[in-house]
Amino acid sequence: MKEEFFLGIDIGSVSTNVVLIDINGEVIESMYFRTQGKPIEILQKSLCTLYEKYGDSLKIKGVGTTGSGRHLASLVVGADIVKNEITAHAKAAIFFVPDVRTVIEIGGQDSKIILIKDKIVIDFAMNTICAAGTGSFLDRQAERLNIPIENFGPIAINSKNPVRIAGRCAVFAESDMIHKQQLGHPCEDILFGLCLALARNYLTNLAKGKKLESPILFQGGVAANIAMKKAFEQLLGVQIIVPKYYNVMGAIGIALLAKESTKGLITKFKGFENLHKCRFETKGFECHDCSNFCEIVCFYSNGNLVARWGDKCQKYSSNRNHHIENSKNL
Amino acid sequence: MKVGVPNSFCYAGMENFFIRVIPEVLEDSQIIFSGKTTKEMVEYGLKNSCDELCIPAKIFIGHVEYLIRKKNVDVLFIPRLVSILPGTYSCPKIIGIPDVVKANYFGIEFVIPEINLRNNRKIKLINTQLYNFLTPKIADTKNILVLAHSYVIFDEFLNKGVLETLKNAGYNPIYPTCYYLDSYYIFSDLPKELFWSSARDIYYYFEWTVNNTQVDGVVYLMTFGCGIDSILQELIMRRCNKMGLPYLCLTVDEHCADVGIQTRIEAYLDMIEWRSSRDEKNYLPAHG
Repeated sequence: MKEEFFLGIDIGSVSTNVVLIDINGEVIESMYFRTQGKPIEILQKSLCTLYEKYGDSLKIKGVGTTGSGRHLASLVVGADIVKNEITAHAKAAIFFVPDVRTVIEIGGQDSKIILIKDKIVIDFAMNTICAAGTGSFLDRQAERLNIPIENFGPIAINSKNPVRIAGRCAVFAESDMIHKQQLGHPCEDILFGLCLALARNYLTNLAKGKKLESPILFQGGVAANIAMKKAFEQLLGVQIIVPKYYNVMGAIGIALLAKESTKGLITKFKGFENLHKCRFETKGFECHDCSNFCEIVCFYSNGNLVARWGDKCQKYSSNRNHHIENSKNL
Repeated sequence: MKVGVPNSFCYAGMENFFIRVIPEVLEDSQIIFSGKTTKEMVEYGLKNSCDELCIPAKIFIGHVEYLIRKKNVDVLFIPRLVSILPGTYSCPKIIGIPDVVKANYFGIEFVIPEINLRNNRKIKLINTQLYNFLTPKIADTKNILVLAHSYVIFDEFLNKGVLETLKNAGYNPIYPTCYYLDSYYIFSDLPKELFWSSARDIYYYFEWTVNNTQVDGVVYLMTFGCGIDSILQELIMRRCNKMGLPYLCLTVDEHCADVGIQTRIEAYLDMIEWRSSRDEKNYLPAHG
């Protein structure tokens, strides 16, 4: 394999995804890991796995990072492009389904809706502070009912008579569920009732006032749950497409963006060899120079200070801004 | 005598007015402004206010607490802004805020003069004398209209660096500056005039700019718990959708992490760039 490859990295709250695409945008490799609160370690581990599998023949021409950990990831790997997850998801959706009109994306801690027309994003919305209806909540409820999250969908889909659950708030949804379970409703009805509640919550919170045109794509980690797909189909009355790489769409999108942005340029990627050897560390402290008490994070690579951020006054972060500006200029 | 002036909320931008007026009212006075909002003030404010108040009002209470605790002021000068524009009223929270503060603090003197122009149709220019804000320069292209109350626009804590982000991305943020707008009124085509003065301020500026300048997009910075914003935001969103202007509504609250805001702004600017790379007039939003 002497071809050229592009790497897309999506570090989210719950999962870390790494995707390798070739020059035509074909997905060569996709990896999905749980972030487990240790984004740097997981990222290093996943890149090492990739390196072990393909070795030196892997020629990376461009790297992009996205997700809430995108700035951190870009420092670790040396990214060519750092973009927000909305743009990345839209990019991937358009790549797989060119005439897509609506993207429903539900991840670990946030959910988004993206409206697209003629391959252009025309509107989007993201959930606000509340995380009712996202993956973490489903995870928690499955755990509470002692059902492995993989079985959640297959069990819920058998429901004949779903119960009504209030999905406005995660805490109240839970008490509603407990109430229904104490009344003796079967498990599958409660689970599918929950799916319906979450889909309803999504549609009232995010899709509020927006017209959802077909084709509708459903992506993000929660799309693995077939009952959620069914719930959306039931509420919207249309077919919903779950793309093949639904759980790594963000990473694919950013890899595609990296491919576009590095045309004719040399990548900033640090290389697998260096990554393997590097030891990354973050330390935090609270600055007491003024009454803002900013929390400063220092990022070290092999004991050398590489970047700092978190301050309002830019006293510490000029270093980091420099780095990001560089990657933007590409 | 130390006279404390909390210059946030509706009193932001009134510094010159205070410097002019206070020596006339109180002799031998030394004016102490609370200055920029800090995290410390925000914490004071959240601790000392009831939860129904909007965020700017809570922060205002933080400013008061800061003046009393850290600056040891003897007198607090908080005018009651009943109406600062003939024919309108201020927001009820603005009218009531002196009382909220007065009911909470004892052992300190309050000076609460009243400013009420509701029925005074003769004085027209007083508003520009009340507030001194720097008006933004409107560029030929790449203008982004940022709509919010002046106390949000000019408070670095509340605006979460949105203006800076827009500037860094190469856009020119323009925004309404308080009550400067007598001349803009004629452009409105609303069936009925808006009741609150700050709502007029924002809406007429919006109407004027979208009709008379090149605006690439509209960002509404909504403050959590603000009743005026909740109505105005919807009104402006519908207008934007009709015109096909990219619109983004951000709700700001006491969250100190600004990552969520940054992500949305970044995605929004990507969307504008993506759209402007084509003939945008043909790509109206799908809803509206």
